[in-house]
Amino acid sequence: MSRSGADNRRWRRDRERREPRLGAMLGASLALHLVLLLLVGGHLLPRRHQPRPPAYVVDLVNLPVKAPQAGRPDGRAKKTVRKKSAPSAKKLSRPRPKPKPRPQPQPKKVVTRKKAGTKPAVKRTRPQAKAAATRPAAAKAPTRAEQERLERRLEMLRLKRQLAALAASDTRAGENAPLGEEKGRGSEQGVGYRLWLQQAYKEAWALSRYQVGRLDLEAEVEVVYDARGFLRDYSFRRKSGDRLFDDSIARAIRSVDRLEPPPGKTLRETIVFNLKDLMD
Amino acid sequence: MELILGAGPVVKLVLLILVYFSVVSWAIILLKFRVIRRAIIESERFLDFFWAKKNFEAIGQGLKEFSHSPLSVLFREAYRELMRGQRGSEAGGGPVAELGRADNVARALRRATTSETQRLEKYLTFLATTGSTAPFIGLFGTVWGIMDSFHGIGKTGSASLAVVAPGISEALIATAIGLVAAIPAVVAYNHFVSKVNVLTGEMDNFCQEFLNIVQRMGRD
Repeated sequence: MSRSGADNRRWRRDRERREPRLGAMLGASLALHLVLLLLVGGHLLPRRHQPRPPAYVVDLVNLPVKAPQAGRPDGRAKKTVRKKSAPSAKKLSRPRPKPKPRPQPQPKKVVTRKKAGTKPAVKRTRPQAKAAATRPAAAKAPTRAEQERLERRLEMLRLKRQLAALAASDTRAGENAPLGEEKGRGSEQGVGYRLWLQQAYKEAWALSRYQVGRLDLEAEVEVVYDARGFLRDYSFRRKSGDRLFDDSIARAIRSVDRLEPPPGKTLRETIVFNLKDLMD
Repeated sequence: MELILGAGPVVKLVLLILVYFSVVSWAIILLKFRVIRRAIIESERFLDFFWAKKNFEAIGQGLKEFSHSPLSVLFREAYRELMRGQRGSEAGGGPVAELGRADNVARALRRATTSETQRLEKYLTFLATTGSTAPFIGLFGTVWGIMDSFHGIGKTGSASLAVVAPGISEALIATAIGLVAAIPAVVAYNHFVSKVNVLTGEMDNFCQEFLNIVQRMGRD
């Protein structure tokens, strides 16, 4: 047993040295908080990197059609059309039957119709018929001047037809192009359900800019609508990793719970939600 | 994480204070957990050792093994005082000197008990402070954030849930973190205080036992 003051001090020092220190515990606590923060932030878990799917064009307002034809996919010009003649919305989807019954022999009108994007197959027959009609006349009195004039006319017609075909193939040619999908091959003016849904979801989607720190968020959702156009189910095929973004997508999908007109059969579409595009 | 980064400066400051509270609280929790656990284990071992040996000299030799036990500190201080008293009585003093020696030992034990209790209770006040203030600090951050949010609504003129909800959720983060800091602090404070009370009781008992032995020694 120590009796002197020096021994007592040594004993106390020795005891304090063996005691755990607050500094070391602070370090441990900081490490604990960091690990917790990383776990909560999802940085410790590995993330699968998937190739980015192509961005979709989502600026449509039109009602969807079952067999969209090629044309202008943006709905801005169409909106104005709608405002001008609201009752003729059905007309827009079926413009072809009307011009068909009107027999118009004048070539000018045929050309304008081609520019508007109607089927070139109908137009093809008309110049042929004209040529056939001119042939017997040329056989009767085939003067050289007349022949040259006819050839020039035919050449002109051929060029105009090519121009019309080019204009029809350019989906963003202008406001005169019919409303359709970029790569549509159907017969109806308007967009398919997929593009229509994308636009509807975009309009229904809402999320504050302050809530998302990254702009490269993407999610893939499969939506199912029944034949009557009611939303039956939706499921995330790939989540973005950001809960708030995913929730906002779910809200947007739930808000578009009805398709007009109904598709007539169960519709199953996979929609890619890209935050950048949604914020545009 | 995005929510926190997107919050306003006042809310961020509040969050920083709360994180500081949480970090220090957990450091104290870890420290106290080790200190009190060791104190309890070594006290039990020391009591066994103390009652096994009947010679104070032999107990004094083995004290180094129980340096974390508050009972060993009590014994050490009392024994030192006893030795000093014995040296005095050898010089001459009689029964009055014997009584004075017992008092001195009692005072030494009381002093040692107080200092050991203080050592065990050190930093616990910070836990109590965290437990009682962190929720209010968080609440302040929430109120400020919601005020900010409403200000934004006034500016934009839109009050739809989609516009209001983000700001409010940002603000509520402050309350959540305040509670995250406060709950462990309160739980740990209550736990440690009860453990310290147990140790203090043990120290009191040990003091009484030791004084009895000292008085018996004086009578013999």
